[in-house]
Amino acid sequence: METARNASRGKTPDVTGLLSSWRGGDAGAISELMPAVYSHLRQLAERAMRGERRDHTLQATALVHEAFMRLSESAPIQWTDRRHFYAVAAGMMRRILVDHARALRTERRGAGWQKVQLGESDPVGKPPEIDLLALDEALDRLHRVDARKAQVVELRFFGGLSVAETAEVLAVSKPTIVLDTRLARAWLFSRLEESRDAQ
Amino acid sequence: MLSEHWERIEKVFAEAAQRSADERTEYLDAECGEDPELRSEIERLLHADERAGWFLEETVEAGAAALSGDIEQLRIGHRVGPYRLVRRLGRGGMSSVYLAERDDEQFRKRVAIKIMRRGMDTEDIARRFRSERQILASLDHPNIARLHDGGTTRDGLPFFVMEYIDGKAIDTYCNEHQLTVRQRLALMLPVLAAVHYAHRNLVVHRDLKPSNLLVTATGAPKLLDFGIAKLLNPELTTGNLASTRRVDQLLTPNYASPEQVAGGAITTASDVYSLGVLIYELLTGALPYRLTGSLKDMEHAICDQVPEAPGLGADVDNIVLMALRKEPSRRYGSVEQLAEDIERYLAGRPIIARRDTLRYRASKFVQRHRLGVATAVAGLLVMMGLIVALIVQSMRVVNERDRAERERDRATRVSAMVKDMFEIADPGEVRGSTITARELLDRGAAQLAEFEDEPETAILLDTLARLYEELGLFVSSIPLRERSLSIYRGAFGSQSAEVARALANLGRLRAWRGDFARAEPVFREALEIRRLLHGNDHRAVLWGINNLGLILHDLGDYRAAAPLYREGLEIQQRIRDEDEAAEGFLLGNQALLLYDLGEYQRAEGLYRQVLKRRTDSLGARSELTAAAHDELGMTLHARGLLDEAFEHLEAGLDIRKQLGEAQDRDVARSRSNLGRLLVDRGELDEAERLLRASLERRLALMGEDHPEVAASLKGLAALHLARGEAQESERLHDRVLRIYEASLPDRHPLIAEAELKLGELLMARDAFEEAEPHLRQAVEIRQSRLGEESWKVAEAILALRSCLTSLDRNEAARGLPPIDARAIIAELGDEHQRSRQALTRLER
Repeated sequence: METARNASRGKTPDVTGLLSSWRGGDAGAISELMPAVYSHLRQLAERAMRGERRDHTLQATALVHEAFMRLSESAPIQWTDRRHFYAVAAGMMRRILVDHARALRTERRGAGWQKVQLGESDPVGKPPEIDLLALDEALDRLHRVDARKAQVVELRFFGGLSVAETAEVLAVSKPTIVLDTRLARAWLFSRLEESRDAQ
Repeated sequence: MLSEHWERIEKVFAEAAQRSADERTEYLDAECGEDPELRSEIERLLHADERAGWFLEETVEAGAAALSGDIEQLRIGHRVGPYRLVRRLGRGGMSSVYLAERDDEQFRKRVAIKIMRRGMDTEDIARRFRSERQILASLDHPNIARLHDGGTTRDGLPFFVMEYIDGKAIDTYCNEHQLTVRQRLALMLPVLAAVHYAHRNLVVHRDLKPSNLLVTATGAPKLLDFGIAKLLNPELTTGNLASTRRVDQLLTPNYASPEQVAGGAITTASDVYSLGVLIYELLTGALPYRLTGSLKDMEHAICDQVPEAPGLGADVDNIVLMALRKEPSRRYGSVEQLAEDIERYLAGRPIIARRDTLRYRASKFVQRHRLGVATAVAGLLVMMGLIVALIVQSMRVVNERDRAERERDRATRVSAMVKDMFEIADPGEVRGSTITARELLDRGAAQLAEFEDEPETAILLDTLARLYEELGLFVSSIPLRERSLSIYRGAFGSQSAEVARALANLGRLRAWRGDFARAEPVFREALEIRRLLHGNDHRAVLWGINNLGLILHDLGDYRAAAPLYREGLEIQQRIRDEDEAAEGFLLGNQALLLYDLGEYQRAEGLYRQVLKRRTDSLGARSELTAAAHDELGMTLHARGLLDEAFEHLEAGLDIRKQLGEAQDRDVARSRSNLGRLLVDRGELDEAERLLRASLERRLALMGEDHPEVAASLKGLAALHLARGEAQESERLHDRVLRIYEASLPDRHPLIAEAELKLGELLMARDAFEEAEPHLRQAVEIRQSRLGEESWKVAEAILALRSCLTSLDRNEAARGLPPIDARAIIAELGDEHQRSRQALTRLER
């Protein structure tokens, strides 16, 4: 398997070390952990692209999840660490995607956007930046109203965790996660719709 | 901390969300009656809840996809082989292309490097590349970007090193320079030359599209990626669009040919097609069809949708549409031919491409709007347009002898006549309502009856007749054909090609109607005219022979038909043109004749040849392959080889069913044959279902008195007998006999079959007196039609002898010709039921 080969060849970050530094208050540890996660995510997201385009909904998030699992496997982490790790990694995933979307937007607004001249030029999906950036902002607002619900969204959709894993990380029951998700999704959707209509 | 307000929202939302819509209102009334703000917030959330769907997943997904797409950007500055990547030139679904430089001692060499995405079948690509690099690297043409090298990057991705072309995609180039239609066509000429050059070197591009066709600043077009598509995925050569994963990324469906999409063989004709799309797009700025939606929709559009003409004048339209034909064999035979036609057009000379797709399109259209299927007025107008075009086109054929201007006059007149023909009194009256194809044709036919007898009218008559025939409305077609024949006779004289063709059309029509006796002289006359006009060794004569042979065959004159088929096969041997179809027909007809003569073993051998030949040349699922299966099955059935017979009959039916409605008549035939076999296999219920379905269809198509109707009835008669319902069986056999007597010529061998069957049934209930005349008739017909030596004669005589013996008319029995049962056993073997019956009778 190609992924196994990549994993063994790539540098495995010292996740545990980084995590304990982070818990020990070393804010820099997050930024060190980030490239490691980023590179794994890249490899995996790349794989997502070869799936059949029409049916791959959820595939990227599943891959994100896989990235976390891989990272956590690569370094045996204590349970509490794992919870933290998920929380941190989901947040990082969100940041990576949002940063990228923001960069894309800047690039397109600036002079950097030019027509592809060589090779195929099929558009890769729809331009995602607006949606993702808007979602990011709305999620921040939700965080101010109800932090746990925002976390649920982050863990489940950016982190790719299942209901059960999310429940473990947040130490609440599974039905609570289900309900949280439903309300959070409805709330975010209605807010996004509102801001889109306002534009 | 959570606000109280929010906690309340949370609680009420949770409660309300779990209730049905009806209960919700009630619940909300009770819960927030005095708090309209809360209520509106909850309702807003519930409304959002219903519509939010997968939006979170999709939003994150889109972000992740965008991220992965940008990864290649990170390669800049890295090395691939001896090259350093300088910048990215482009990015597609499966690959990214970089400008790269090689720092040599003396100079900087710039190349383009295409790096495939992860997920390609790396090792296979590398292997295929090794085997083909020689060919690809040797493609040396000024308009083809050279392929220098290829390999695998350190992280295992396939890459190709190509000549770097500093240019713009051809569509962009044309638009930026505001090229005219003629300039655009001229720009394509070197492209076509390049593709043709590659084809001669046995390399098919397979992925021609604007982004693979750059034009340099000096205006030289350069083709990229020759042969790469095949290296990347050889499955694409036969891949099915819907089932090949990744295909939407690998192959650009916009330019893919129907055979690429549907899984047919990819040949140079596929490049002709893609070039057609490309030219279409360059000239009109749009694709020949709109591709949206699912892969299945795209497949449908590419394979079935007839592209609209670009509307750039008849010549350009014809050139482009000829390249875009669905069937590879109906396109230009080569890219060179396409180029030549464009050159002819540019030079103002007449082009080769003709709209001979019109008849095809008209018949497709009519087939889609078969009986009873109403077509809207818009459809009607489309059809009228097709008919006009079809007629104008067929004028060319008829009027070869005319001068060009007369031809044009005539075309104009005919168009006007068609308008009259379909004159709609008040368009407002019809708008929005619907009309069936048949009503439209009837209207046209009624108008035509008023027209003068002149060649133009004959052309219109023929066109309408053909459309009627497409609908299976033979009765309506016959008077039109008869009138057009008489017009041609008057206009061109009796010994003209037009008359021969009209005769053949009329004959075929009469034969379809089962009116063999009146078809025969017509075919005979057509054949005589053709021999006179062309001599013996000519294809038209060959077809004439085949037609006449078939008619004699149908008339039951087997002895006269046999030598005609033989002559046909001899002519075919001599003229040896590529018309394999004719040979196939003749062989098939001879096989059928042998079957009818009762020479099943020889028939079987021939049918096996016919089946193989048709499967090879026409494919496993063609109409004619189905017929070969069906008839081989029948033959095997006759030989008593029921299991193998079943396989072939079933295969024939399957194919015919898949071929669609137009094959109604053949499907009924297959059902009837399979039903008759199932009776002998004891699968009576299924047999009955098939036989009844076939009977019903045949009655609808052919009326009561058609021999094919009788064939279904024979099956049902056998079925009833197998169920022990001898009386019903006898009644049906009686009806079969009456149909044969009414519809077949005198003393047709099929009448003998029916007489024998009926006689046997009558004997079975001891009605020997009644049986005798039937059996006598059977003997007599068989003797005269099949020859004394035929085992079928022996069989009939045995039956008659048995009858006479039972009547104690021993003298008469002894007066019958001597019987050699060996003939029966030699043909059928001693296990066959008919052999056993004969042996039993011999022993008595």
